[in-house]
Amino acid sequence: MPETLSFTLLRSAFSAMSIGCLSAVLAFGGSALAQTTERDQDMSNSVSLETEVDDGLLTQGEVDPKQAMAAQIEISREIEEGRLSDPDPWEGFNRRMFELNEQADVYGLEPAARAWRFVVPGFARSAINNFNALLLMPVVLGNGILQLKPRNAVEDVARIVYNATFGLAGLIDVATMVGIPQNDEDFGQTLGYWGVPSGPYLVLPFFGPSTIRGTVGRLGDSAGTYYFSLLPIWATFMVRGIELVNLRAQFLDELDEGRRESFDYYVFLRDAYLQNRRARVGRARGTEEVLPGAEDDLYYFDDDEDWETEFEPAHPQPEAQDRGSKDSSSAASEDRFDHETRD
Amino acid sequence: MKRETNQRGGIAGLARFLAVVSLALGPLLLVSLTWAAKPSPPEDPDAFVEAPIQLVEQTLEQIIAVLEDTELSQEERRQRIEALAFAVFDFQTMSKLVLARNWKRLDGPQRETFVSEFKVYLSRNYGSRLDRFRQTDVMITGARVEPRNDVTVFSQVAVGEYAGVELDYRLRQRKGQWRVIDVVIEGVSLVANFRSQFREVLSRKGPEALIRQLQKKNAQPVSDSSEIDSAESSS
Repeated sequence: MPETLSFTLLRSAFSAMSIGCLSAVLAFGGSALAQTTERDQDMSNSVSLETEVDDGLLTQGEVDPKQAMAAQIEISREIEEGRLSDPDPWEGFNRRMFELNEQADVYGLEPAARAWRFVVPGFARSAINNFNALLLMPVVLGNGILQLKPRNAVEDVARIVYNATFGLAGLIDVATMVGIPQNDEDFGQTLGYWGVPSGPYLVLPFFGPSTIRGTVGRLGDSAGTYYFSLLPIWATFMVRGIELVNLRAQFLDELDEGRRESFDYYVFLRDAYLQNRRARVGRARGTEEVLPGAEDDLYYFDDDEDWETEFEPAHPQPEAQDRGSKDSSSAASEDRFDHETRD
Repeated sequence: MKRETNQRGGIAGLARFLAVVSLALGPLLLVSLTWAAKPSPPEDPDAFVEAPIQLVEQTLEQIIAVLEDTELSQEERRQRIEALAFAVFDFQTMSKLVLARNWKRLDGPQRETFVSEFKVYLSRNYGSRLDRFRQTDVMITGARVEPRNDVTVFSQVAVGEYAGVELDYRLRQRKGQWRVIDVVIEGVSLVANFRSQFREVLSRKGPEALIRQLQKKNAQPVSDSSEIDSAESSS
């Protein structure tokens, strides 16, 4: 008996883990994991900069300490004034976990996913996706109910019935073809729906980006896939493994681009994850989860007198530029939408 | 005599006082002017969003037409899409939004370089990405008037691999012309994301380094065409 119990525990722990991986991957393009090979080529990559700073190796010529200081002060001022609430107070820890996940991906998951995409034809991969989506439907349904959405619940049940029967046990997504939408609900969203704040950003080892709320949400969702523990443990591992690799294969190009094109991949992923989650929770609530003033602040700067002026490429001196901009902005503020001219 | 000087001092003092007051109130006045200059919301929002919706719709149609034109080489397609994007995006406003308060730290030539490099960066990276969206259709699902009369146009990918993905475009009117100032994909705003990344670089290394980094990225080859080919053949 104790053996059975520990097996069950292990299995549900594992399914919690893989659900975690899954939702991380789904939440934003398999974000769990990143590449470090690029930084050998690109020494200006910020991840390498981070380590250089840590090691004290950074050459003085690279950094203007005054400017760096000014920017830091600027940021902390913004935080103090509540314009930006710091989403990532545990950045040091998070960056370390992020590095770990990078390694795990580069040496484990990504090569596996590449091989998988090479060997398995596209229709088979999407069939596996459909199948996994069906397995997760009870979680979606449960969270729809917890969010008091009868319409969603009906849709979810219909989807399960259609795909399990006409869809050949979930291999074909018949429900989408007949117009039943795939709802997107998880326990993290349910918590957000009931007003639980997301808490600080948190990178979990092997699971990737999350928040405190997201982590609790994952544990909650793993309870919804308890039926996995009815399978023998090797089957659970196999199913979950295939699921994960298959999903990673779907995002090969997206993550490659993210790594290659971003200026700071860690920040890129963090922001993408947080914004995407905010949007999803907003969708679950039916309103946008936007901090007061934050949305407006993204597109305007009320207290920035420089904002309205067209920059003039001819000006060589920054002082002259600044003074000029102040004058013209006060004059121009009346016709702020007509003032600016494109070069 | 004494009294006179006192009086004169009084007048000078008053003048000084007024000067100080006006100096102190200046910024306040400026702010209030800016507030006053906020355009009132349009009386008929439905009519107001018509023009931005049309712009987005037309551009999407044109882009999809280019993507479906199999006669064109990949490079030609990229160039045509780039031309469309240059016409519809307001890169200068985007640069300002992306740098936010750091915009002030760039001098004139730096600003100019930044805008042009950022433009190249966006069109290279997002232009090459669009190739993946062949055989797709995007439908406009709505629009909303934002504070101070920006307009957000909501759209959703209708068919294909990316079906259901939500794309929002934020547009702003300048000189009577609507232009896109931000693209939000599944809740992830391009402006917000680059702003965080650039802030990170700027706070560590300053504007000159950021521009150098942009130039370096722009000098790299666009993307592995072999990779795109393999993705297409397999999906």
